[in-house]
Amino acid sequence: MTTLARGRLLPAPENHLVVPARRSALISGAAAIVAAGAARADEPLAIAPWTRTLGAPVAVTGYGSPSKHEANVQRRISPGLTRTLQSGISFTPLQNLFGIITPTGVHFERHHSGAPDIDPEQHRLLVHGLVKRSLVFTMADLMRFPSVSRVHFIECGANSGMEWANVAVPTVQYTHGMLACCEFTGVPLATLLDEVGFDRQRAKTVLAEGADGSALTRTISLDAALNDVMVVYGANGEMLRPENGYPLRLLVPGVQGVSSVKWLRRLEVGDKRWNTREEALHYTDLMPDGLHRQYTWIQEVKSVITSPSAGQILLERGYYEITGLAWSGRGKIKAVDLSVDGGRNWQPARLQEPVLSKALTRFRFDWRWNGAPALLESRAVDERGHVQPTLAQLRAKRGTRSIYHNNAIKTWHVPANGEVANVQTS
Amino acid sequence: MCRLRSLALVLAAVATAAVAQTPRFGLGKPVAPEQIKSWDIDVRPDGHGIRKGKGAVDEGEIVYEAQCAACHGTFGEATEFLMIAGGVKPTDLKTGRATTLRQPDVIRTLGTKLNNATTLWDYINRAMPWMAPQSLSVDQVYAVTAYVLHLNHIVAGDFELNDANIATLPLPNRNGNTLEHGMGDVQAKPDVQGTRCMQNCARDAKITSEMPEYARNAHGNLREQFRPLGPMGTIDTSRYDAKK
Repeated sequence: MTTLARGRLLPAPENHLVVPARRSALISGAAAIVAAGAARADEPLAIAPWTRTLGAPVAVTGYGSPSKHEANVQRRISPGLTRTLQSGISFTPLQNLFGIITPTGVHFERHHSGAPDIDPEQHRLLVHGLVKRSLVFTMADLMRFPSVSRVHFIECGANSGMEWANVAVPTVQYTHGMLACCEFTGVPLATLLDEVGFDRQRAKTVLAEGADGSALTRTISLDAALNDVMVVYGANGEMLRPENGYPLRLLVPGVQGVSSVKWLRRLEVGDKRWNTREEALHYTDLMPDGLHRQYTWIQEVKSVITSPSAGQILLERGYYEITGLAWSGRGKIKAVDLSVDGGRNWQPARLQEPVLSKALTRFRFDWRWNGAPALLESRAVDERGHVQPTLAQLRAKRGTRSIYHNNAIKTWHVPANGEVANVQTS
Repeated sequence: MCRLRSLALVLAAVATAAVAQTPRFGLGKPVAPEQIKSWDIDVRPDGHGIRKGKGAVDEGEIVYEAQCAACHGTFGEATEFLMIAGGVKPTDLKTGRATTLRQPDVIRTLGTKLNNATTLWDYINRAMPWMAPQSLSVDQVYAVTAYVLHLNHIVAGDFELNDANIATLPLPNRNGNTLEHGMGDVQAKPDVQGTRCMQNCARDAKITSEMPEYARNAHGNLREQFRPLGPMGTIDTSRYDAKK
């Protein structure tokens, strides 16, 4: 354990791993495991109590939960952003997740009038407007259509919105956690539009409406509707969760989350945009000249390092895997570059397969920390050649008050004491 | 031969189009216009969906006091949600641009952001009052809409809003939105582009912003928000708690 000799053991009270009495110290994380191993190098490996007893039977719970040791992995709210819990936001704990699929139970939430408790037997989807025949579908009807499954991210348009002017929140859960990626199952919207016989001459838009108390409405373009929009009932192999739209939601891939209307009850084919409350009073981007950009809906190329990230401590020098997520609303991720010196020098990161269109892509990078202060950044490039900008590049054009569509490069500061912090840099 | 073939292709295309317009799966139940009225509630700035009705400012005040003021404040000043009123200047009505949105101390309210009265009517009608959506009558919705516009100095105290004047009513920020951006179409270009410099890039990399100590525990102790197991430890931010 030569790394241990070089490393720094912090007498931190974190994580409760008590090493044998003769080392009589409370240490943390990997260092603790290494230390424990080192301490017992000359002793036989202990046989754990769970090896010497009968375990729990099958089907104790018909639907399982994570280990009790995973209790820290939770959706959380940000006090400044959730003034009421029914019209609020909870954030995905990105710092604790692996791969690209968001476990359904920690998928971020955004409700406008709370999550309704919908009886799927009574739920209906009405499709009407500029169509040959208005049709009402039951869930059973919708589940009889030919289905597709696709992996896509959903990111709220306001994700990272608190950080336009300055650092405001402590971890990646809050800076980037209005983000999730699931394997969705449902019916292509094009199939339903064909079934009702939409007016190919006049139709230009589709209004989507929720069955919740806010009856939330957003306009989507007919082009998107016919391209890759889905009417979704499944996520990650099961039915949608109530907080994510059970039993039916729209999915508009690559587009800000509000367009993927939850608890979908109605689709109206039209010839104009609706200028709804969520298109005129919210989800518009204020520019320095006082104009609001309306119908800004694509989530631009973006990435963030999830580990190491703010709130964590590098306990010793040596090898660390830097890993994170990249995505683009305009297609596939082509490359992710990594910098440990605040953006002066960059090297390509490895992309984990599969790399899917309008889905999260996991990247990894090998790093040896020498104990000197470092500034970690990732920068994504998508298949159309769009490059993730710096915050300075965004501010030069859009100022600091636009709230929405902040896709800036994120910086984490690793100071000499290893305590990673959320910072912004020049 | 060639002509015959292209004719066949045209016929095939016509046939495909015709097929697409007949129900392919025969799923779903046809509904008559009368049946969908209760759901088909959307109102658009161009007049689509406007309901026949009317309501005056003073009638709206009564509804507002009873149903809205508890959350939004007597004068629309509450900040739990987007502020209902404030920030509108008399000249804004002439220009159609809310002046405050250009200023450093921007005041974001319904009044300074709204571009069409139909949008306000539609939202009140579908989603308000918050605890009992879709419980107001059509005339009550007109009345409350009129009162909220009055709170923003957009209409006078004796104004009556109705189906004939709602779509054409000029609002203070009616010219305040732009569609000139590349963020509505996948083919279009976004306005801000990064640079893929790889070496000796022009960055100062000086820290310009970080969490002040008093805010480091404001989201709770970070130690409880990370998996205890893993390659790194977690900062115990309770040491920054101002209450301690």
